[in-house]
Amino acid sequence: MTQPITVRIGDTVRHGEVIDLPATANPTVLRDAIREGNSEPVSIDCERPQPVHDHVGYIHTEMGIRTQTALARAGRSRELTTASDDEIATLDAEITELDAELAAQGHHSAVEHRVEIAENRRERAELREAVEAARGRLQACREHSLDTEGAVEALEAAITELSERETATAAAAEQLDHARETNRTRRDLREKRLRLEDRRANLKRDARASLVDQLNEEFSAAVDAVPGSTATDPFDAPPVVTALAVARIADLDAPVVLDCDRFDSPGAASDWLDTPILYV
Amino acid sequence: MLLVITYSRSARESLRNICRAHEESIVRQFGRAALFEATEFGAFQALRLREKHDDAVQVERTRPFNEFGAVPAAVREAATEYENRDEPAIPYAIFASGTDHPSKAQMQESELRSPGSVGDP
Repeated sequence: MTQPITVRIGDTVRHGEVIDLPATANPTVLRDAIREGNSEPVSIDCERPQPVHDHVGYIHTEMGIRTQTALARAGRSRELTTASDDEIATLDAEITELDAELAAQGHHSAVEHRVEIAENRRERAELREAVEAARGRLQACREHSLDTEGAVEALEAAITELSERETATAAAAEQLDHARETNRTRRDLREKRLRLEDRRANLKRDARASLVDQLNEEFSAAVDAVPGSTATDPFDAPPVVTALAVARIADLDAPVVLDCDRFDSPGAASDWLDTPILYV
Repeated sequence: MLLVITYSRSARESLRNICRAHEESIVRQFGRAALFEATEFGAFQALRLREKHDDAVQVERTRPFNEFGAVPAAVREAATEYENRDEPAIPYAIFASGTDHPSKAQMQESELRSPGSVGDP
């Protein structure tokens, strides 16, 4: 069920199911070109890779692999299902809905109100001092039987300014209250979303375990069948062996970039994996 | 202290990392929330979280609770006497009716006396 692929590197074009490339070809560039369709100067015409391709898209001796996740995704590439799938799909839909609700609500930043309130308070303290000082001057004028007209005016002006500032502070505090109220509703939604996400993460863990369980025997057999494999515990095999076994089990749409010498020929590797390969 | 509450998985993860890395500045941690010390460094960590995760992080400043300043005597007495009631099954509404104890509705409508108003810097 392998599909021919087309690889263009500069002016060179190769077409087929097994493409043997010179050692000068950069395997990570090839892998990226498979994922993104194009990675200058390489372009590859092939099916879109599935999630399992992240784990086995480039197989080489220095690689690492998360066996359980890779194996579970291999199961998904074969459309295996688990008892958790329906609930995960329901949660996906609910989370999408909540996101839409959150986006529609918009985020009312309270930063401006906080800045305004903090500034108002500082100014208010200064204005209060100014009122006290003006009052002191008026008192002094009276005590010395001096003309009080100027001092009275100065005191009145200071009091007016203070009262304006207090009004502004009260208004800003009210706006901040309002913003806090809105944000509380928003946080209720976010809290709900977080609960759903946690639930979904647990279900995904269950699903992963179930997929691994379903493929357990097949995976052990595949690890045993890897040329040169000496692993006794299939979950403790060298990453390259694990990756080959996972790729063999998976139903891959996109080609695998292979850089290892476990097979007699690129064709033998492609047959064993049952998938198109780019051999470097 | 600063009460820091997170509302997303990534914000919760960042909070946990900060709590692990700066134990000395964390007064208490509960799941997706924590109390930071009211120092500039505590504020620095809280602001970093808010910068990174925006409104998925809520920061509130707590203040010590002094029931003798913030709560009327009638409410304090009602709490003490209700917890020392003779009949454990009796609901508060019945316990309070016909006495001087405040009703649930009265208490719900009365805000606590506060040394400052909302937005206190």
